[in-house]
This record gives sequence, structure tokens and C-alpha cells, in this order.
Amino acid sequence: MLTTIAMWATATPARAQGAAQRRGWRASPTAAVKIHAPSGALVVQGWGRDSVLIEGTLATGESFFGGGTVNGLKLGAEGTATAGRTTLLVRVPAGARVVIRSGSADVKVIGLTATIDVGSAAGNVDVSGDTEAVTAESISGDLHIAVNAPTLRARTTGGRLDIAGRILEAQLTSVSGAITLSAQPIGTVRVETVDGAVDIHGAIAKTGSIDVHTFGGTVDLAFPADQAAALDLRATDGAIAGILTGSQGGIAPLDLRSVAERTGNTMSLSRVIGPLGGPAPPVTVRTMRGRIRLRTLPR
Amino acid sequence: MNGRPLPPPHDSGPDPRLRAALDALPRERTPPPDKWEQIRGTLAMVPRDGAPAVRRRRTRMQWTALTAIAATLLIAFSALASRGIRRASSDPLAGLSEDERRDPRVLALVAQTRNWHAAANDSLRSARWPAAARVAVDGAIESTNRALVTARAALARDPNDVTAREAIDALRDQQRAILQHAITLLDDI
Repeated sequence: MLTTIAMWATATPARAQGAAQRRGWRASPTAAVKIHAPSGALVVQGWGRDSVLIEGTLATGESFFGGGTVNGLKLGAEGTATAGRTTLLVRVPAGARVVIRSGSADVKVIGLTATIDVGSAAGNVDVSGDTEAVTAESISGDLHIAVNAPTLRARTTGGRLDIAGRILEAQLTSVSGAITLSAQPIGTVRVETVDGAVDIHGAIAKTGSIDVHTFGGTVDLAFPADQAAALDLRATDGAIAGILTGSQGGIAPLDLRSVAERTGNTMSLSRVIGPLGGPAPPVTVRTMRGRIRLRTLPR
Repeated sequence: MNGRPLPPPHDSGPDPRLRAALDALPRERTPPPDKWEQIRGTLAMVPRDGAPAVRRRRTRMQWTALTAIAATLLIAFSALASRGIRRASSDPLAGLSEDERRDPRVLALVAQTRNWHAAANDSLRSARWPAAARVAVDGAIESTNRALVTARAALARDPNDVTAREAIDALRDQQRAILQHAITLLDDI
């Protein structure tokens, strides 16, 4: 009887809204950790300990779960929230390989150095830090990624993609969500969107390249005045415009509209801009109905 | 009346005392003949004066009923129409040429679309799938479908339009990727 009462006393708070929860497991520094968060907010933070700790409050109807080995753990919240809001903080070894799955929970990841894979159906995703690789996706939420990483895959349908940091190779995809890239320098970037507006501004790495494909989304590109680039732009049923100044445009400002070729309803421009003699990273833009605009960043 | 009990009635008719008592009853409850005629005349006039009001009430009721029926029909029709449109727009084979129907990429997209509908309509699989995500996937498919229609129209105008052809391939790839990612995520959360 006493055992039953003790079990009830320990089990009941796990289902009660607002009661703080805390559980921990041993974990290796490079453990694989999978974290689930159906709703609310989840923060995943890297730390220097060899353990995984989850703490926070749960919405009514949700409960903690977790288990595994030191090399592989699966934990988080489960159930369906009927009232209240779940707020979770999960601390994992900084070198852990982390996979996060969220229903509508907003996810924030900080301080992880290995691979990060975040998939959310409707939550916003925020990832920052120096990391090995990032894969981030939200079907309807916004993605804000500010990382130093060799590779990044970011995808959304209707949300916004806001990318910053230092990324060697990035693939950014949306349907209607706007995509903003301000990585410094810009490495190899491929952008695909149907109707989302694309805004890429910053210096392109000497070994970098930009490849943008939109259907109806407007493409805005802005580079420093001393940026060399091999432009290959084509807008079908769209337009190319912009004025380049400084060494990009030559001695006088260059009006791209005046130098672009028009064949039927297609405008195209193939031209190397910037200082001569150095590498000119390729910049390719294809759009079916959108506008392409280039400008020189102010010094 | 006079304090004595009345004898029981017999077949020869009411007792004279009872008749007398009845005759003695006050007549206020029955209007006098001239008053009665006046009332009857008034009653005869009421239908003439009240008919427009009754007609107006009837007309109003008829219009209300007609409006309700029309609204019901309109709602039912628009629901059916939108359902049909949704079905048509979600059918990846709709409006495709015979060549396209044999295209492996198109067939892969058709299969993926059917997989998605099966997953999204499975209450167990989609139990934790937020409504916002479902709306976003449907919206994304509709957006790409609209773009596909435009690109296919451009290709129909000019069969050598390389950009349109590339756009169609890219849009179909993107649709397939959206659905694939959505299914994977739906099963994983």
C-alpha cells in the first residue's frame, strides 16, 4: 500500500501542468541523442559534462519519457497537450550528435559542435554556434540559422529562412517563404524557391558560388564594391535591373538594364564584374517570372 | 335563487322557475344587437384592413424561406465545387498529356502524392501532426501546382522554351521533395 502511494506521489506530478520536472542519464561525449517535443518550447544546449539532463514543465496531457545507453539516448515529452504549455531545457554533451523532432514546439539549439538535425512540423527553429553540420526543416515555421558550419541544409514551405554566419556549403529551399542569406563569406550556395523572395548580400568566397532558382520570387543580390563575379542571369517573363558602382561597374556606374540582352520576353545577362585578374565566383540566377536586382553594398 | 332547492328537470322542459331565473341573469356578457352589428361590421372590415399586413408577413416569410433555401443550396454547391477543385488540383494526373502520364518522374510524383494523402488521412499516423503543418503542405502543393500550370502554358506556347521545361522539372522535383519530407516528418514526430 505504501509502495502504491509512493508511486502515485511520484507519478502524479509528471502529468500535472506547471510542476517542474528533471531527469538525467549518463552519456558519452559523442552520444547520439534524439529529442522529441510535441508542443511548447524546447531549448537544447551543449555542455561540458558526460550526461544528458532534461528539465522543465509539462503541459497537461504530456509526460516525460527517456532511456537508452551511454552512446544512444532517446528522450523528451510525449502525449497530447490539453492545457498549459510545455517548456523544456535539454542539456547534452557539446559533441553529441543530436536529432530533434518537434510537432508545434519552437526549438532553439545552442552550443553544439557535432551534427544537428532539427525537424519541426509547425515550430520555429533557431540554431546557433560552431558546428559540424546542420540540417534544419520546418514545414510552416521560420528558420533562423546563425552558425559557423561546413554544411547547412535548410528547408521550409511557408516559413522564412534567415541564414547568417560562416557556411561553406548551403542548400536553402522554400516554397513561398522568403530566404535571406548574409553569411560572411558566402560559400557554395544553392537556393530553390517557388515564390519566395531571395535576398543574398555579402562577399562571396573565392571558391564559392551562388546558384538561385526561383519561379516567381524576386532575387536581390548585393556584393561589396570590390567583389568579382561571373554573372549568368536569366529572367523569363521577368526583368534584370540594378546599378553597380565602384570597380564592379568599371569606371562609371553600370546600369544592368542597359547591358542585359532581351530576346522575346526573356532578359539575360552574362558578364564578369569586379577587378580583373582574380577569381570570379559564378553567380547563376534563373527565374521564370521574378525580377533580378543587383546592387553594390555601401562601403 | 330564492334559497329553495330546484326540483330535478323533467321531460316537459325547463322548470318555469329555472327559466325565470335564466331570464333574470344579467345580459352584459351578450352585446346588444346594435353593438353586435357594429362588431360584426368591424370584423368584416378587419380582413380588408389586415390583409396587406398578413400578406406582407406571408411575403416576408416566403422571402426568408427562399433566401434560406438559396443560401443552403449555395453553401452546398460551393462546398461541392471546392471539394471538386481540391480534388482536381490535388490530382497530379489532372490535365497531363499522354507523354507526361508515361514520364517516370511524373509517375513518381503521383505515387508520392498518394502516399502523402494516405499518411495525412491516417488518424493514427497523423495524430501529432499540427493543423498548421497540414495547411502548409497543402498550400505548398497548391503553390507549386499554380506555378506548374503557368510553366506548362508557357511550354505549350513555345515547345522550345528551355526555361519553362526546366521550371516544370524543378517544380515537380520540389513537390516530390515536399511530400517526401512531410511524410518522413509526420512518421517521426
